[in-house]
Amino acid sequence: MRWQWRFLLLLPLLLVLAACGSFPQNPKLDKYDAKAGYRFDNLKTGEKNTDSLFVVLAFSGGGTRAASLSYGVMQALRNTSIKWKGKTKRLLDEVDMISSVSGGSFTSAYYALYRDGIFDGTYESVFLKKDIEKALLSAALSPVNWFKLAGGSYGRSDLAAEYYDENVFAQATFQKLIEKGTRPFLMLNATDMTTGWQFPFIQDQFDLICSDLSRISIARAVASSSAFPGLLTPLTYENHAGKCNYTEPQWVGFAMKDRLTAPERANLAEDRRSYYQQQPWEAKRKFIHLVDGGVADNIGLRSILAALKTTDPAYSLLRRINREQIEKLVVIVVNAATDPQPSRDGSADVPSVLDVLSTAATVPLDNFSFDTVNQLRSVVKEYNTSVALRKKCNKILKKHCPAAKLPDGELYELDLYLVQVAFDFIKDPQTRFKYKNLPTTFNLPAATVDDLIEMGGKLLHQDKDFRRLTGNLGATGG
Amino acid sequence: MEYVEVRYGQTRNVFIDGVESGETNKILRVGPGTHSFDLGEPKDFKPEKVIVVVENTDPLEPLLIEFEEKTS
Repeated sequence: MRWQWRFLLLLPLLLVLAACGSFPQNPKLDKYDAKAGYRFDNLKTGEKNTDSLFVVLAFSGGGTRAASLSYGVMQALRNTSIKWKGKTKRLLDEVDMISSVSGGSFTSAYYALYRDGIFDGTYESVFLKKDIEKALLSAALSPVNWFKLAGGSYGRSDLAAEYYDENVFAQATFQKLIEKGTRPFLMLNATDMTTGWQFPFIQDQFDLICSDLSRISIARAVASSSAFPGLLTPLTYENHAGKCNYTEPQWVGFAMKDRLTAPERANLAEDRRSYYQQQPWEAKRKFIHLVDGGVADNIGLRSILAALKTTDPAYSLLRRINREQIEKLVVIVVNAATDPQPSRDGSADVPSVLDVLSTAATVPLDNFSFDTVNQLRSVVKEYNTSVALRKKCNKILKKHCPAAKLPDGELYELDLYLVQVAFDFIKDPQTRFKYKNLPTTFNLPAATVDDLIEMGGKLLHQDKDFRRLTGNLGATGG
Repeated sequence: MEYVEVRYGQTRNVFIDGVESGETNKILRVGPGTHSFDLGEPKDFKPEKVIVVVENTDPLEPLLIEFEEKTS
């Protein structure tokens, strides 16, 4: 009978622990205010940053491998001294926007939060060179957490978010980034499991679910961005839509008519409305479930592409280009994608179910990433050719009909740089093979992390467009 | 990418879908699809706004949208 008494005495404690086993509520937004919260337009350029030289970074997923490679690029940008508008500064000071997914989100978030503090060694010790997998496993094995994990809406990613909150991001929320007040604007991207679209952690997105991003922890956003399907669980957010008087931007209504002329725009508008304007026959979206940002776009480039191609996003770059605010636009894509060579082709055996599933999960993502980079390349080309075409026509007119001129106004010319950091560009085949076969894990040997950091800088400086940029900016160091 | 020029007698800001997005008498880049164009405040121009599907333009032949001064 003694154990029964003990059980009865412990019961209240067990009930309390089980009650803790639900996801942390994302706060409701009391009133929608298009001018408040974590938005690009609410951040000032800062003392050393200018709009005229606009630098965008996109960090891919790939666990610690991606986090280290992107950290190496940040270090190289810090070490690159440039001259712009009569001032000498570091290229890093000119970074305006960072869009990231999964592993890359640790570096981008840490930088947005601690700025130069990222280089003092702490980031390397608390994340890059730490066995995060072991730490997360220990947390999962702790009996206290069993009860939490037994709760239906609390999963392993919630536990991971708590760990990152305590050990990496010091319980900082997005309010901390608002208080910093200056760029870079951070876009941590997760994927909405239901729509399959990117879900960036910016207030413009949280407006759709009437939630206040400023009170959400950065760790939880990073955990959402890196919730690799299967290994980690999706994270749950409550949809408070309809409770904050949200007004949708004009373009959304127009886009709904654009199914044939601009299908991507129409799809995006439909995705946005799925949070706040559901039809009676549609499944209710009381909650949103977010997984790894890599599922929608493993290089964090889709948001940037949209910003370059349309005037629709709140953070549209095209709008700034039309307003002639940007003279030089630099997009640096840090892609830690690998291409591991499996041993399956050495045998006639039918590949295992696990092998097939893993191939089905990763190969389409890699192909999609390839297409995304190609799309960006096409956009850059279109920017350049459109101006070149008008110049060419004017030249021909001048030659054959000196009095004539193209009838329309001028098309603004900007200097565009697309910089790519990826293992594909490692020249030595054996070294390339080594990097392209690194595992996706949150536990890499310290020496591998160091190699990746160094490789990030090396690949950056090797890029043709980066060399053109630094040449034009009279750069030194790196 | 599509190309639009909003013409007006003087230099004014151009609002695309209600957001300031460039100036009059210059070629502006926009995404394809339905867009609204106007010149913001003061509302001394006509028409009040133009809603149009922008498609099949190119840098040599942008879509031309014309506003004129409203006479009181």
